Amino acid sequence: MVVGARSDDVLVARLLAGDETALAIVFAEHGDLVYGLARRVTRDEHLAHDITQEVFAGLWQRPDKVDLARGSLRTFLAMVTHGRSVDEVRRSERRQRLEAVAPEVDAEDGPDVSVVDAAAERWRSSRLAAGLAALPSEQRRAVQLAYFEGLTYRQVAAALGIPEGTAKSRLRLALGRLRGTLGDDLRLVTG
Amino acid sequence: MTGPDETLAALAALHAVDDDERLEVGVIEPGLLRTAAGLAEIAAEPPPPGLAAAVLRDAVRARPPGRPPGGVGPCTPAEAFARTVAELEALLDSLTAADWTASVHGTDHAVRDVVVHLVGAERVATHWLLASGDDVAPSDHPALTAAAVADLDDASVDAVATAWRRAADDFAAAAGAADPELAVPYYGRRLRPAAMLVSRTFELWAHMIDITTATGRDLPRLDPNRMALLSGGLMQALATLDDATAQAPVRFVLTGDGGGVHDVAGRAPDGTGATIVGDVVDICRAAARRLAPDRLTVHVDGDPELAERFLRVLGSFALD
Repeated sequence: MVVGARSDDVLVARLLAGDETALAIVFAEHGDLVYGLARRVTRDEHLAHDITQEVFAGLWQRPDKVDLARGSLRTFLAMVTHGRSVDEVRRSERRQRLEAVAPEVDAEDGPDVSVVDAAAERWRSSRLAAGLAALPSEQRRAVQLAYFEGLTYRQVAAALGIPEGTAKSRLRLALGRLRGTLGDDLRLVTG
Repeated sequence: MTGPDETLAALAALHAVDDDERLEVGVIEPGLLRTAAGLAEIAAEPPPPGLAAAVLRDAVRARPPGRPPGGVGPCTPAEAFARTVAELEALLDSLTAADWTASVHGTDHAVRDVVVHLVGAERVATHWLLASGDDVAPSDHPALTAAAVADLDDASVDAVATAWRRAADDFAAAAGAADPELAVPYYGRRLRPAAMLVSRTFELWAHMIDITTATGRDLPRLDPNRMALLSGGLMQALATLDDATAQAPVRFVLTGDGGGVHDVAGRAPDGTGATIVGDVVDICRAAARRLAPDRLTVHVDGDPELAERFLRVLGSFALD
């Protein structure tokens, strides 16, 4: 007998068997990630609410889609949530607003907390937020546009008024710099 | 090299890019991918009150709990018995002379003795169906069936196989003709004819395991419909055990084809009790005493002592 039925593989097996209490456990453990990510990307509480319901309903209806050989349950949920959220943003009128308004880009390299929007204040205490804030402003903005506002790679380039190749470089450089800044801290959050 | 988890994380973080350009994920450094996964974490925030309940309500509306999605239901007891009889007959047909004398479980019982025992078991069950049963304990099962097959002492293995098939057919016919509501005394319990068919199917499967193990063959695999029937019957029987139901609620989550969820004694409103998660075939093998309790792997959520009590009584239905 093994005490402990809450590992990813057992939880997915429970979902497959039809144990609805397992879904409640998965929500308790990952609902913050799903809801928070959906809200961050869509910037809309109602949409985030709907997306969260859709993501967990999808997990309940098709738990066989989770391939734990490819990643953790949390990573799977993050991937699905982000994809769903980006789809929603792109469908909405908000997309046009985002494309029409090219954000200002600071010329100076280095930390510039004013560019990070007010909602990000809450994250700032974490190392991740600090790492993001420490990015050169043009890199930080590229990450924000691509990841949290759901813009495509080409839309990032258009929004920032830069060549597509430059947008791609900024994204890669930003992620590389975050890695360098945060190092092993990310192992804790990505498991 | 990048790990699969990191690759997925990178795909999540770079989803926005993905529509325009297929990224060569394999060339992205692992550390970079881990960083990408971290981006999702900084967005985490507590969901609003009520969202958890709404999620659960919508989910179970879309897919009723209790069974795998698109999962198979149990077949009828008569179908289960008939299919298992056919499979055992095919197995017996494939046995060599040496196989018939192979030792079962390292004892002095041979495969032939097992089949003779089954002849007796079918005859006893048929007799009880037709003439009402006697109250006998499960421990009396081997001796009782031995007495029913004295005529096979000197029979050839072919004659034994034929006798078993005839006895099985007689039992199936008697069960099919009996009043469905008839409560037949059956080794300390009172079973309806349908439940007797389930019990008989269980025993045939258990002895197929004995024979295949003794003769070096692959273990028999029942189709999901039969596993669903047998496990469901087992769970119903478990709920009737006095020493088990006297405890707090227990949920069995049986995984694998033919599995499902069974609340053995209802659910407590406060969530107390235990959830036992295990492979449906392994649980049934343990119940048939064809898998030692210490080799049964289950995961327990909740009260481990309560789960242990239920697991201890799991094999109490096996006849031998």
